[in-house]
Amino acid sequence: MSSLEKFKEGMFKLPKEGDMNVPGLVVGTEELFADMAIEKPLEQVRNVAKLKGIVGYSIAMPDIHWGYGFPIGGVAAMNVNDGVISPGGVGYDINCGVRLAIISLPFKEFTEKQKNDLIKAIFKHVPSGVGKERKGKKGLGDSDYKKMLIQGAKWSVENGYGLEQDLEHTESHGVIEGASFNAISPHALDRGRKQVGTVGSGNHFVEIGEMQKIISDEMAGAWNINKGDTYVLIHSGSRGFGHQTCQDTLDEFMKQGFDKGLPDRQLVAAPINSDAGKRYFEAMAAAANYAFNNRQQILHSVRESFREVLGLAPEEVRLIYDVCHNIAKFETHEVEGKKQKLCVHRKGATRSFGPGHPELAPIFQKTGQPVLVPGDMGRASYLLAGLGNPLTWSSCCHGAGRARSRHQSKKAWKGKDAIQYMADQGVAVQANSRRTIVEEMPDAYKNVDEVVESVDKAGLAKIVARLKPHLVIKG
Amino acid sequence: MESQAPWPEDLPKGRIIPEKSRHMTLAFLGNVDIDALMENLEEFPKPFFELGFTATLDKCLFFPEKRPRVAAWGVDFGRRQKELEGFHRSLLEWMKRFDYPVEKRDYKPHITISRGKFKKKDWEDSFYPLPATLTNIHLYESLGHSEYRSLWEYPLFAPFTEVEHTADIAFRIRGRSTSEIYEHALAALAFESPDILPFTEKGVTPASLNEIISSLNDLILAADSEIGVPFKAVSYHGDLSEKNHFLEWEMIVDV
Repeated sequence: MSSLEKFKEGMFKLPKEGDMNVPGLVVGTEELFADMAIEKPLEQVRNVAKLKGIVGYSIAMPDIHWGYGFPIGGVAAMNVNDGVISPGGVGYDINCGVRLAIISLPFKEFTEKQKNDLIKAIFKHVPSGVGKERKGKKGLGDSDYKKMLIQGAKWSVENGYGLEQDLEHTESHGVIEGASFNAISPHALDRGRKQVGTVGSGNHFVEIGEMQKIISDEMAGAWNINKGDTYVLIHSGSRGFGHQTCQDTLDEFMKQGFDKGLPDRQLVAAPINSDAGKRYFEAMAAAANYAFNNRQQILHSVRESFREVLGLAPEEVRLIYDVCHNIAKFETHEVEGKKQKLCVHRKGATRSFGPGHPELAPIFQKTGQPVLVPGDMGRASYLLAGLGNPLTWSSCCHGAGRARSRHQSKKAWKGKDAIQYMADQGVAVQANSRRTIVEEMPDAYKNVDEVVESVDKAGLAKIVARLKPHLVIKG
Repeated sequence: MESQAPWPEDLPKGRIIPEKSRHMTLAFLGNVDIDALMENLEEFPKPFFELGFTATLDKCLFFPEKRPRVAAWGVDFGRRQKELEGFHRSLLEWMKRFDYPVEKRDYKPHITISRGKFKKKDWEDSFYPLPATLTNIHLYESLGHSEYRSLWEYPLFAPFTEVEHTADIAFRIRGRSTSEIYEHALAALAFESPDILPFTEKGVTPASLNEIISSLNDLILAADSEIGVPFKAVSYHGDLSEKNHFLEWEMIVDV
């Protein structure tokens, strides 16, 4: 904290020093950073500030922690004329993101049997855990695979995995334009071929719960969300396809010597306008489109589960929004009073366009886009509305942030019945591995209440509702 | 020797040896005079290696063969088999010199997992290969009921240790060469996900850190494409450095 200078409400500045091109901007509060090892991630904020073409600030969100080159919770916008694009600024899990759907039925009115059947049905229909494939589903043929990677979520909708209106409720309408099949390696194609519609492992999940508290009646009213409503939250990304695409690019960038002169070679970055930079964007866009399809198909399986157990029509499981939190996108922002096209890297950060942004669907024009902030599987997650803060290039936090390492969590819960503990807290957890559960216990995370309060105070997004989980499916 | 492995939580029925008591016996001394033994240990043959072993628990063994009362897992030391055998020979010579009884049967490195009555078939059917580390050498006194007390210890450096990392997993890897760094890094990954063991290729000898990382990521790719693993990739974090006569590397695995 010693190097941070108070800047505005909920924001600190990391002064420009040495060969930093811009200063750092850290969103958060003294309380949030008091107990965490912040020096290493701050060093990463400084390193990102040294990248060519960065404008404004090297930004960190309140859920910041040590990442790969960039900190997790990092945002950096590059001038498209002379700036760079960095796979480390996106992360291995390209377009990892979150999707929220609402069912206008009070969760509390479900019987215990219905809840039990629901978790079982979702566990059956949505493969979770390492390498789980969809049963009875052959890997994608090349032609469909190609269409899916180019068209984004539209492909899934057109092939029976969703509703037309889902696309309006997905960031960028579920497609990053500019994807190229030719930019993808055969290895990435192999790794992802059978994994579409699967959750994966680690911190990915499908969660069912209730809208516990409405904080903004105005926003909730505009989105037709009521206290007590049932919600579905889905967290997953581009699976092995994205991981391999990132690895292939890192190998190629290293081979071409793009890491020379960088303070950390994991920041390896190519000029946006170079062949290597363009190729990475094409591949990253394909991986992002894979992820949109993945979450779309998971939602489809969740709808199937609600139909089986409660007889609900697909339309009754209403998608509110789908956000990316590991991505690089071309966006237009105001820089020193002039509109400028930038390449905005968000690694563990969520876009938070405010009211009136032209990309948003009519339903979000007056409210700003929904911003989804999963917390932990015991306490809460949050729904917010974007405020389009220009200091962060319209970005917000993406989660609570880990407070304890996986190693520490495993040690802390060794020999204890984590599933029973969660049941005692009113949360039923089903997972393929006990290990995933103990690594993801609520005490492994910061208190999400404090994290979202800090972004609300800093003017990045406005809190709309608090979500309380009750049924959790983990990998 | 101390043994660690990602021990399965569910084992077939038997009198299971607690995890903390599992070890690999180098030699069995029987009932001996402790004071004399402690004196003789001053001439204990120091091993010519300072670094503990990684190994594969590659088969299920039963002792004795007829009506077995011990279920154990065999230990394959791979490229370092000869080092272990060399040390074992010098240990037997030391025992002979001080008139300790030496077993005549061939030495089969193993870790005892269960004693007493058990169904052999259950143990055979449930077995799958596991990675293991064999580290510090102890003189253990058996206290009965699978309890042991260490009377003397000869320390070895661990081939890898897990270190704290907020979001991912990280290990400090030690080795005497780049090939050994690779093997020990691979064992660290296999501790997290034993299913990757069948995907390991023999004879991989990377010459640099980049080649080590690339070989590990090839392994992750092969395993993830077929069965799925909890790893995204091994990152390009860190450098090889020299410490305590070994090469060291901090490996961060994105999960």
